[in-house]
Amino acid sequence: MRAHQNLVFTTAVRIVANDAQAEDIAQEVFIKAYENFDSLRASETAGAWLRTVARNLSLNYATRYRRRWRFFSEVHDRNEDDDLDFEATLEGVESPSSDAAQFRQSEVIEEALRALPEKQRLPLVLFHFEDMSYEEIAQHLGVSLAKVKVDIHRARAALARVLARHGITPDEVTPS
Amino acid sequence: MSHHDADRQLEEFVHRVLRNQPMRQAPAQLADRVLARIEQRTAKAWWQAGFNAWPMPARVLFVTISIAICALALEVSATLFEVLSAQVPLTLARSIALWQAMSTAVESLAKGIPVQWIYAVGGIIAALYASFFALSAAAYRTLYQNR
Repeated sequence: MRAHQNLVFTTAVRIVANDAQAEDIAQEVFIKAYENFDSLRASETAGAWLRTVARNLSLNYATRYRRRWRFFSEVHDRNEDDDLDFEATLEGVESPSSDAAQFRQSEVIEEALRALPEKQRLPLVLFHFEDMSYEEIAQHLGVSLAKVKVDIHRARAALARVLARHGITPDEVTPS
Repeated sequence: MSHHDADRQLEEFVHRVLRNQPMRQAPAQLADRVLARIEQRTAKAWWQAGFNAWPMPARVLFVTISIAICALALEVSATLFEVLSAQVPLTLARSIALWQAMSTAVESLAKGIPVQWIYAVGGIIAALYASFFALSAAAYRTLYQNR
């Protein structure tokens, strides 16, 4: 369990963007793993299984929560305001300039992701971290394909602006 | 550079940045929480767990007994109905008469109310419901969403 707990927690926290909820989801994932212990013990793909379960549970949570509050939070289109709010929340984050530059860079990116509006952050995370296609994201979130593409594009543009302000440019990032 | 190329570059840049992110550290107490929960579950008797976790013989027995109880309940109620319908008790007859009297009274009262009043009351109820809904949405946006 300890070998996979960071993977499971990271998957959950990136989707739900809340540490406490991600911890609850991680707990549920490991209890499911315990229930399927006999088949997982010998499996070489236990890590992938855990990640898939973590992703599905997190998505269930995120979409259920989203539906519940959709009326209250998404009545008006906040695209322009969202971008302004998003950049305003990051003004206090310092640029990486010391030995801890790498750590700070990660922090800046995490902070930037969290500050994105929910409707942009979730599809972006699913696309880039979970390798889901636009079509799969649209299906899971119950929105149109065009909206998914627009939201992801806006999220990327907003992220890139903040990263550029903190000195993170395409030249500085090496391919993974 | 075309618009399409710029989008492609942006996508690749963001992908590289995000994929280079290190994994988050799971909370230290996560493992202990999971183990405590598992111990709690294993300490429970089998019949306190969900139906899916019951042993197969227990499940079959439970379903059989449930079907038998349902069949018995249907049989008993049918028999009771037959017996009771043969001789309607006095209290039941009185209850029916009371119900009919009340229905007649309500009906004659409803006929006396102008239809405009009914529409007005309906409109007020709808307006109150909409106000309550709007108030809830405003309270959510003010108190919760911006936290």
